Amino acid sequence: MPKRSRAQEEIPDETGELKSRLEETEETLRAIQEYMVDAFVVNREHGIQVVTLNESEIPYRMMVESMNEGAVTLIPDGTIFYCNSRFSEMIRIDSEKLVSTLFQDLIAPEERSAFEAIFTQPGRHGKRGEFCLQRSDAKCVPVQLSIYQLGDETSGIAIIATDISERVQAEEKIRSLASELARAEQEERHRISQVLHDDLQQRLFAIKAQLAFLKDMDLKDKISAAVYSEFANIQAALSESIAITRNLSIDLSPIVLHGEGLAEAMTWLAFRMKEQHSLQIDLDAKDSLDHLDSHMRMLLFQSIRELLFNVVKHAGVLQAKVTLEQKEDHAHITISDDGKGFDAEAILKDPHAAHGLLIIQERLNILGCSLKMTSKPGEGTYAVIEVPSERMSS
Amino acid sequence: MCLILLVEDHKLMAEVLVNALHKKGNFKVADVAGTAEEALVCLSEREVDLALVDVVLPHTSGIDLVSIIQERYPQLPCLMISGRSASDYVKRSLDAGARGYVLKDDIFDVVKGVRHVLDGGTYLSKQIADGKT
Repeated sequence: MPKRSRAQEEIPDETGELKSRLEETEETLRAIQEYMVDAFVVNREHGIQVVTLNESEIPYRMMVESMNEGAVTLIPDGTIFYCNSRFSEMIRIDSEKLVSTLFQDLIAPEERSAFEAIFTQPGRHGKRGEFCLQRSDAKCVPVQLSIYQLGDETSGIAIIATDISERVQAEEKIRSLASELARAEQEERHRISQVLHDDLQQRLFAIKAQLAFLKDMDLKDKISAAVYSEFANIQAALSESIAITRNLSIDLSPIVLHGEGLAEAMTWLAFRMKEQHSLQIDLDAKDSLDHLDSHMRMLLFQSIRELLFNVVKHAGVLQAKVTLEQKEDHAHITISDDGKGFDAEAILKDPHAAHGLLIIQERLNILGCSLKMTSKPGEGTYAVIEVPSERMSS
Repeated sequence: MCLILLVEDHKLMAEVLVNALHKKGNFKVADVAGTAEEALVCLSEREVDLALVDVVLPHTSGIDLVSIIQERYPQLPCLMISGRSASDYVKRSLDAGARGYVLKDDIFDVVKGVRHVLDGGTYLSKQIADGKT
């Protein structure tokens, strides 16, 4: 009991002392931030050391404080020991509160492992990555972080944060416009397809029928043999025209795409590629991918069809494989063949040689999807299309 | 003379079909309907021996129309006519209760198909029967 009483007596003294030391520290920090300190004394293991702030450092400090990028310095474990006012504004947290917190805690939880991957090995030349910083109001600020090692591994780390909100918003806008454009294009394709089928094709059927009536009448005595013999040629030309309009109508807007899953559309496409181009497609649909919205389904259908046309035109084989699979967070589609292949690295850099492929790639990229091509001469071609879950409905 | 209800939305094609059915088959087209809805009105107003139905129609499709006709008039034979030969259309038409499927490509084959179905049989254009769809 006497011991406890003495401890109780000591608490107010210690609290007072801690309070006084805290005030002193805060005053020191304020003085440093306001450039009122030219040097300070540090008590290190090997004795007292005086660290001076040369006059030449003052302009740099002023520059860092006034620049439009957020600047943060950290100790190796990620604890912040300095941030400029721009960084503080960016995430709407006072710089005093930020000092001594872990930088990793400011990164959106789902991106922390990606951040750690570059944070732990930034190197002298720095590493960059795009992340979301969590603001005090829980909203996300998209930033590009450039991370640099200061000195050796035991020294600190500097991070420059560039707010990319405007760029991200612009990309979203482009994506939305591209989606609208794809929608408009699809509607126009459907309209033209309908005109071809509902009107032009019907007129051709009617003309062909009328010609068949004429041919069936006994006209040999009434018209010249030369005109009569032309009937067969005209009928053949009409049949060809009907076939062309029919194929065009179907290719412009395959009816199978209206309300069906991608797997069913692929079954139809496999049949059609076999019928029209003798290309045998081995379709492995592990998933039907029926949760894609109609516009995304159309885009994927057109992309796969173009890649299969490339097999017909360039691969020198009449077999290809298409796989459809739903992975954890994305749809995964592959199109491959064992044909001639090509130097993918070189060809994809040439806008003339890879015109078609680059258009497919760009259209997929704009809607947040990706197309990666792997090919070497003599080793076939392997294409992978990935659709992130959040992009499956536009 | 057998009476036929023709359901075809393209006027020129309808004229040609009326002409062909009359001149080459000696059938009378009692009514020409441009939509499924019009066809059902016609059927409620007069009896016919066969409905010749285009697969693609505005609003309600020809295949759906055949399903409705089979429910309301189970004795009335229906024959599909189309420019499209896709096996999917043919299957769905037959599943809906159509007695056959003819292609517009060959007008005489259309007349032949109508005759077969009126005689109580079923009929598929040669191209479909041969599996060239």
